[in-house]
Formats: sequence, structure tokens, C-alpha cells
Amino acid sequence: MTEFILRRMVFSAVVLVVISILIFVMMRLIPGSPAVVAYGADVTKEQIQEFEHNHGLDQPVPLQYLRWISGVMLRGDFGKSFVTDRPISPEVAHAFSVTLELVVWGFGLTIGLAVPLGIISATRSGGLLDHVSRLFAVVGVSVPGFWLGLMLIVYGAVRLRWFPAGGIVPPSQGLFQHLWSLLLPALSLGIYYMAIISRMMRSTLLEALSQDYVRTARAMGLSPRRVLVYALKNALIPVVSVSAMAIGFMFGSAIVIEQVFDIGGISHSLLSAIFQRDYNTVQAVVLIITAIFVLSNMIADILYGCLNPKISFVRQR
Amino acid sequence: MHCATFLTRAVRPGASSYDTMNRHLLDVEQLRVGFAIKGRTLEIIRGISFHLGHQEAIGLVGESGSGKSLTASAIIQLVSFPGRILGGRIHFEGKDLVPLPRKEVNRIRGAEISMVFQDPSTSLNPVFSIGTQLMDVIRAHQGVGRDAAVEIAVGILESVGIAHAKARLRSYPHELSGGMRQRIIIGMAVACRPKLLILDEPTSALDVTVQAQVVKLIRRLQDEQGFSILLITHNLDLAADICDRVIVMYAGEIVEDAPVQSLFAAPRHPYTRALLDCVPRLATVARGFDSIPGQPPAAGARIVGCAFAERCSLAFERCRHERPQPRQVDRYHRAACLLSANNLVVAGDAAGA
Amino acid sequence: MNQSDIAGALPAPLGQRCSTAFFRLVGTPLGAVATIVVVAVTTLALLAPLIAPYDPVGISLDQKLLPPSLHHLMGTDQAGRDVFSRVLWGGRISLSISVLAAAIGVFCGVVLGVLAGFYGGSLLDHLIMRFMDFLASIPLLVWAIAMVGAIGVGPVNLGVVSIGNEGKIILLVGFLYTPSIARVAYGAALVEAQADYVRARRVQGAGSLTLMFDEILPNCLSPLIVQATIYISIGIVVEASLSFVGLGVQPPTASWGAMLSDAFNYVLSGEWWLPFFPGLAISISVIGINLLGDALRDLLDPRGQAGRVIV
Repeated sequence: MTEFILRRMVFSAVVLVVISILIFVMMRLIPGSPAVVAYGADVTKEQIQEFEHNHGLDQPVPLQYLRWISGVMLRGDFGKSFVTDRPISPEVAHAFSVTLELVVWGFGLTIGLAVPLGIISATRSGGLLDHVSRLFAVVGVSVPGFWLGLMLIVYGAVRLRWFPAGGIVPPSQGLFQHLWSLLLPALSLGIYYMAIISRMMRSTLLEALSQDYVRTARAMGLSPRRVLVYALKNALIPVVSVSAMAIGFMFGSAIVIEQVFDIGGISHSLLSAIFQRDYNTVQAVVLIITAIFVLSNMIADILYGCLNPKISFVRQR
Repeated sequence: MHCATFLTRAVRPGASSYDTMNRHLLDVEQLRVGFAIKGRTLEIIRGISFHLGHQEAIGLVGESGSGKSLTASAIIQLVSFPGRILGGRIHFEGKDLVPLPRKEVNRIRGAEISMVFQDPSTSLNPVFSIGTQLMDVIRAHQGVGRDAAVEIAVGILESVGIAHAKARLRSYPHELSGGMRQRIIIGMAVACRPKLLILDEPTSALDVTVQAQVVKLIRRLQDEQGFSILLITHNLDLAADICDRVIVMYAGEIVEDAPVQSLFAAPRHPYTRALLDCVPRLATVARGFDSIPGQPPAAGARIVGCAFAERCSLAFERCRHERPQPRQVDRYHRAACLLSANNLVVAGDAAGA
Repeated sequence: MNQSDIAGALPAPLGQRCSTAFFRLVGTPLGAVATIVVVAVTTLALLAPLIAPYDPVGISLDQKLLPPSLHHLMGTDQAGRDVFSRVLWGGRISLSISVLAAAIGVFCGVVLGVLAGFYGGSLLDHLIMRFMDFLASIPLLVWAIAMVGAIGVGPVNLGVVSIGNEGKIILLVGFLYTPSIARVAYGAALVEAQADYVRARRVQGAGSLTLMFDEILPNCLSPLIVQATIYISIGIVVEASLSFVGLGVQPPTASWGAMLSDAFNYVLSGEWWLPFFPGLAISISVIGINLLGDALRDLLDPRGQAGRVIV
């Protein structure tokens, strides 16, 4: 068991290291000196040299990488922005906290809606709700989340005025208003996995309910509620695992969704850095998002392997 | 060889058969069960009737597809969709189970009628400890607190021969062997002292050495608690071991119903005769293995006349038109064959030779 | 012994299997609806030059921001361009990008996967599959954005060839598709490489390369087709996302994502048709392709080697 976990963790760590190298090299390969971007086209040679020395770009690339990565891992220091010359870490950290809040809200909504929907679809299989949820799943997986966000703004904010039209209400103006203003973006973020998880919950629960141990439980006269719990504990295992993946996915999706709702999170950091050619910031944000993605997949794998006593036992042997 | 044991086993005191209708534990009347598939209803069990008395053990024997497992599921009201009971009555202690509301049925399951299924490796929930599962059963029917339930659970584990019972409560099913699991399941089934225990192929998924242990356990528990047994099996020897009476099913019908001695010594239905011939016995091994030529009718197919007629070497013209009804051929012996109606005894080697 | 042994013959010829498969596909309600939608969308996109009533890039400012009417079925945008025409032309772009990206992914993935599966167990196998595992750990959209952003949105000159932004997207995104496809091809190739008919042909003297492409590849097609279909639908959304943030198709070219990007500025002022129709086009196309993928999977790959889109 521990061997399994360790192996997954080591693999993820290796992947992250390779990715960090990849990003780093990729940014360095871009033609033209960042100094040109920072100072403009009429930059002088001395300015370029000074800039490059300032940012350590005159050193051999492997050395640059080592300095960078050690800064990242030991101090959480991602270096300085090429454009603003300010440390990247505080700003990126702030941006991530904003996005994190959105993702948490989105994730909570997703699980809170999708799991019960899946359970009811399974227990009343063939009923109206089941068919509706199937339709919802097809649509939810296909419709781009950011388009849904756009349309929700058009109808929810402009037409119906139920939601604030311009951006997010800060917590200082009221916690409820703040959370309410995050509802539409959270929904847009979550709809994809809401569709996936609700159908998955349904199918895993249906399968669990058809198992022999459920038949035995019924034959022993356990109450229908208890029988459902028996089935659910088994059915939830793959769902929990997929939910972990959802988190990584949502961080990636947030890049587009935040633009729609004018949320100042990582999306803003990343995109403005890209358009300003601020490669130091780009590499920082990409590394962090990728790390979250890799970690969430790793957690999903580990959960799937560990939660089912039978599978983890087989793995031990 | 098992066939010798039934000759020496005493008839259980209190075991009743056809004597008093009112005192039967289980009285199945014209039960019909089928599957609704694509708008049509396929009738699998085509009208069976039998009795089971208090403290009596009967075996329901037949090939796969004969409907024996479905009969058991119907009795405990666990016929899964798209199957359903199409007609007939199932009287348990005088009360018809078929129209009973869910809550009542749930109360009866586990406490009065209990069932053990074939495969112990899938019959226990892999994510709950066996202690939890045991105590769930106990507390579902006996309103006891947690500590009392633990005591009872330990007692049950010990009574089925599980060592270190208290520690075992925390084990998960996959940590135990097949035999242990089946014994625990049997223990769970009799935990609340049911009056009827249904066993569906309880030993088929077990090693031969373990099978004997489980059979011993079942017989011991029956002696101690005095419940009736309905044993579903394709294994005639197992039936001989445990049962007082054997009912033979074919294609959803009962073809023969007799005390175990009579059945083995003087079967009155060609199918039973053929089945017995199939079981290899030391004396006849030299003849080679027999098997009944042909296939049973497709599930749910409409059958005119006797279902076994196609494969029966003694079939004659009437057999293909007239469906034989079970007739009393002896005091406790019924058979559904036109031959037995004419009192023609299906003698030893004459059939199928 | 595997199934082809039991059948007592080689697998049926590819052409025959394809036509049987097609008829069975449109036989099911799901398959029929999906096929109709996909065919309709593709036809409309292909025929855009013929059916589009207006020029998709021609500006006529006196016609700007008109709501849907008989003259302009889907209204006009901020530069007076007919939205319906832009949706049709945009479909060409969006669909061709997605299909080509999927094609690249399939090509790279198949080559690598079949190679690794054919030499199953060897160092080459391990190297390729480890690399695939690594690639699969990279989040698609984030990296597409970063890579396109890093390279820049202008055309890239590689000597003779100039790759526009669309080309960049096709190549980069297609490359990122490789791991899943490779895994599917790998699994199928691994099994097929052990098949008796392969061994028989090898004894006859067929070279490895011939074997890989003549015998093994056609039999791996089923799960691959399903996976490729899924990637086409993913590609549409990826292109839309990239164009929406400004890194995809550049103005004035129409693509569904680019139209959404323009429409974004008008969300709060009530011109609902600007984001509605392109997004609707995306949604319908993606739904159709996803349903087709599901129908194909039920048909070709019932054991589920390829991914499920909708359960």
C-alpha cells in the first residue's frame, strides 16, 4: 500500500521536475530578448545588458534553471517580473487565492448537486428525473462552460437582474452578496464535471445495487435505507476519485471563466503576462497550475487504489 | 458415498409432510414466476405447488434453468426486475406473502425466513467489516444496543466455528477464506433464529474439503435451532445428505416430490431416473458417464404437453399433448408423469439403457 | 487461443466491416440522431461559401448591431457583419482546426502506440509509454495557452513554410492529444501482436513494418475511431477557448471562439445574439459529435477501451 502511494508520488514529482525544466527552456527559447519588450524597440545595448544581468539572463541556462528551481522549492520565490521588476510570488499568490475561492465554490456546488442527482437517478431509475439528468449530462459535457457563463450573464444579470452585472462583489460588502456574485462563475466552472459526476454516480450506484452483497443485505432484512448505504459506500469510491480530478480541471478552466466574469485571479495574471511578454510570470503561473493538475490526478489515483479494501489488499499481494 | 447416509439417518421428530395442511410452515400453491422483456412475458416457473413442514428439510433439485433458484427468490420476495410473480400463493405460517406490503416482508426477511446465496466471495460487502455487517443484521431485528449486539455477534461467530471471534469482528471479507465467509453468512442468516432457512447452492463455490465442513455446520445448526431448510442444488448427493425430502424440478415444473429414500430407491419420473443415472457411482463407473441427450426447453418457451417428452426415452404419443399433473403415487410420493399415473413403475435399467 | 482462432478465420476485410458498422450505427436512435446532426453541421460548414448570404468579413458600419430579422437571420455584429454568415464560415475554421488537430494526434499517437505495442516489453516500449504518461500529466488548455502565447500570435516562418496561428494551434493541440491515442493504440497493438495470424504472416516472411501497418493497424481502428471523435469535440471547445482569450484565430477571420470574444464586449448591453448563436453552434456540434462518439463506442468498442464522454 505505502509502496503504491510512494510510487505514485515519486512519479508525480519526476513529472513536475521535467515539466519545470520544459517550461523554463520553452520560455528561454523564445526569440528576442525580454528586454526589448520591457523597454521598447529602441532599447540600447547597454540597457539590454543591464536588464539581462539584473534578471540573471546572462548566465548559462542550466545554472539559471537551478537558481530558479531552488528558489521556487526552498523559498517559494519565483523571481521577478520582467515587466514590472517586482517579485512575482506575492502577486501570483494573491491571484491564486482568488481562483482558489472560485474553485472551492465551484467544486462544492458540483459535488453538492451532482451526487444527490446521481443517487436519485439511480434509485428512481427510468423515472422523469433520470431522463432529465441524462439530458442534462449530455448538454453539460458538451456546452462550453464559458459560453454558459456568457449566457448566464446575459439572462441572469442583464435581463433578470438577479445577479451583479459587473464582476465580483468583494467580501467587504457582505459575505452573502460576495458568495452570491460568485454563483454564476462557480456554476459555469462546475457544469462539466457536474454532468460527468452525476451520471457516474448513477451508474456506479446502479451497479452496486445489483451486486450480491446487496441481495444478501436485503435477504437479511436490512432496512432499505441501510441497504442504500451499503451500496453507496462502494459506489462512491470511483466518484471520489474522479472528483479529485475535477479540481485540477477547474483550475485550468478558470483561466477562461475568470475572463468572462472579470475575476482577478490567475487568469488575469497569466493572460496579461502572456500579452506583455512577461515570461517569468508566465512560467510561474503555468508551473503552479500544472502542479495542481498533476497533484490532483495523483490524489485521484491514490484514492482509487486505497479506498477499496479489496483492491488495496490485492495490490498488497 | 453419500447415498448410503440417508438410509441410516433417522426421520426428524416433528417433520411433517402431507399429514396436516394447517401445520405446514410453507405452503406454495400454483406459483408462477416470469420475466417481462420487450413487452412479452416469459413464464419461467409454470405453476408449482409444494409444502414444507416445520423442522423439515427439503431439497429443490434440477438443472440450471429449471427455475429452482427463482423459486427460492420468489419465496423470500427478492425476485429482481424484470422478473415478477405472475400468480399463485406463498403461504408462510398461514399468511400469503405475495400481497404483503414491503415493510412486512422486510420484517420477515432475516427474522423468519432467511437465505444464503451461492458465492461467499461476493455475498459480503467488501467495504464493511464483518462485524458491522453481522451487527446490522442483529440490530435490524432485535432492538438491542451496540454492546449487546457485539456480544451476540461474537457468540454467532463462535457458534459457526470461527476462532478469535472478537478480533475477527474487525476483519474485512477479503481477509477471510471462502469457507469462513460462507460460515459467517450462514451464521448471519440464523442469527435471528428464523423458522425457514433457504440455501441456494451453498457449497458450489467452495472447495470439496470445505464443503463437508459447511454441510456439517448446517446440520448441526438445524439440530440446535430446529429451523426448516429449503436447499436449492443441482447436486443430488448434497440433497441426500441434508434433506428429508427432495423435489425435482424441470423446465419450471415439479416433476417429482418424494422422501429422499424413495426418490433414490424408486424414482417415478424418467427425468429423475436419468438424473440419478448421471451421478457417477462406483459400481457403474465402468459403464462410462451418462448424460441426458438433448437440451431443456428454452426459458419461457411455450410448452405443450410434458416438458421432458422430447428427451424422454419412455415418451409416448399422449405425452406430447397432455401436460402431466403431479399425482400421488405413494403415501408421501408425488410424480408428474403419465406413466406413473398408470402405475407403471420406472424400473432400474429399463429406462434409457 | 484468441477469438480469431475460434472463428476459424482471419478477421473480416476492413471494407466489409466498415459498411456493416455504418448500417448498424444509423439503425439505433442515438446513432441516427447523432449522424444527422454531425452530417448537417459538416455540410453547412463545407457549403459555407455557397450558402452564406453575406461576406463574413465585409464591414458595413451602418448595419451594425442589428437584432435577428429576416434579412439577417442571426443579426449583425459590431462591424455590421452578418452573424449567420460568420457562423457558417466560422464553422469551417473551427471544424477544420479540430479535425486536423485530431488527425495529428491520431497520427502521432498511432505511430508511437503501435510501435510500442508491437515491441511490447522492450526498452522502446518503456521509453515511449513513459513519455506518454508524462505528456498525459500536462493540462491541455493551460499549456496550449502558454505555448501559443509564448510563440506569439503572428505567423511563424520556418524557411519555406509559414504557419499561421491556426496551424500553430493544430500542431500544438494535436501533439497534446497523443498520449490518450497512443495508449489506446498501444493496448490494441499489444494484443494483436500476439495474435496467431500475425505470427503466421511473420513466418511467411513479412517484415515488421508491413505487419504493423497491414495487419495490426486495421484491427486497432475501432477504439481509435471513438477516441478520435472525442478529441474532435474537445478540439472545438479548445479552439473556442483559445480564440476567446485572444490566442486563437485572429480578427477579422471568423471562428466561433473569435466571435464569442467579440461578443464579450456586448454582453452587458443587451445584444444577446452576438454570443448566443456562435455558442449555440459550438454546443450543437459538440453534442452531435459526442453522441456520435458514444454511438460509435457502443457499436465498435463495447468493452470500453476508449474513453467515455457521457455515461
